[in-house]
Amino acid sequence: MPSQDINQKPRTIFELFCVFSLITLQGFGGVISIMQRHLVEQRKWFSQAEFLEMFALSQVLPGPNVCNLALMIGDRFFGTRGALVALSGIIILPMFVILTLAGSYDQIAAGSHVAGAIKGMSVVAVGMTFGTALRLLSGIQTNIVGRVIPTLVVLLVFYLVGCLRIPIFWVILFCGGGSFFWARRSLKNRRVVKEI
Amino acid sequence: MSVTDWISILSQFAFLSFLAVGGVMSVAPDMHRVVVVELSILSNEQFLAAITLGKLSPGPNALFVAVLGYQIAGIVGAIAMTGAMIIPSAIFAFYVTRWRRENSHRLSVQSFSIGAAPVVVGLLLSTGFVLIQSFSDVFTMICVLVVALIVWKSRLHLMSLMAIGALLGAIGVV
Repeated sequence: MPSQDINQKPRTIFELFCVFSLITLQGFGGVISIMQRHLVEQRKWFSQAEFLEMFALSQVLPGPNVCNLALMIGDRFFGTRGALVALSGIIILPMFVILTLAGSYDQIAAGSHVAGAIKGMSVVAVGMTFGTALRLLSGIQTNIVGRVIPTLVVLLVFYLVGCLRIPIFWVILFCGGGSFFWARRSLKNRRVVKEI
Repeated sequence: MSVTDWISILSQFAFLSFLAVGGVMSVAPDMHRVVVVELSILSNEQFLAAITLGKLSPGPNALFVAVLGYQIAGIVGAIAMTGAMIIPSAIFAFYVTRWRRENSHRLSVQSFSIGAAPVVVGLLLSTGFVLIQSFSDVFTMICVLVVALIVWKSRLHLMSLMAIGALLGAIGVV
């Protein structure tokens, strides 16, 4: 793995736990933006492309995406133990927070300032989702498949799901399938053997 | 709540966790059916409160399931429901990840890695676009786009953005 040389990695399993706890506690309205920023840009554990690759798999697998992603990352660095620790890191502290909030939900819902703050945060969260998607565009590999097809796939998926609201299942099946076979064809043509 | 009710709920949630492709929120309607309609152990309001809490508190949105469990049976309920939701799909994800790593030389695995990337980015853009439509006024939408631009082009700390958003919201600007 040539990328291992430039990538950093967590030194201890405890660091892994702390990093995921830190990420998840900042994740209001979407953990993925925070995770991308922390792991790719600040800590440099992964390249944009590597992150996108794991993110893609976590999206396709059933279950909570962020949990799947944490598990994959933990497994990659520390095996089974790492997977368990990363998964716990992403869940335990937010669970305390959410259950504490659940106990005082009525007061929270009644306060107008709090309601306002929540609205303000949801505005930022939506903006962050957009911004992260745009940042991840640079992680799409174009050296083998070219630039045209991936761009078309991004736009088509956006049009079908974002504008027409076609159920995601069909979009993944057809756009994902098409994109898959285009990648497969390109790989075959180039006979590129790339270690991932 | 009898033991059979618990077995029924936990097994149904574990099953739903396998159907939750694209996130747990996609099976929320089915969870509503189980706990509110079929077993009627929670009210509609309680279910909505759980969803709202899942959105406003930090961490995975899926943790609203913990609130459902908490409403039913306190801390034990919260842990049981979260476990039912996460453990089966996590075990599955774990083995798929391992398989993928051991087979990373395969053409199909490499094609998946390359082919899935644009689809996932397109889906994330769509999520943002669908959510932006839940804001009614143009000013708010412009704020969202400004945030998107900042996140895209700058390295400003995301937590500070979140704090600014919370502050502006609390004083009623957005």
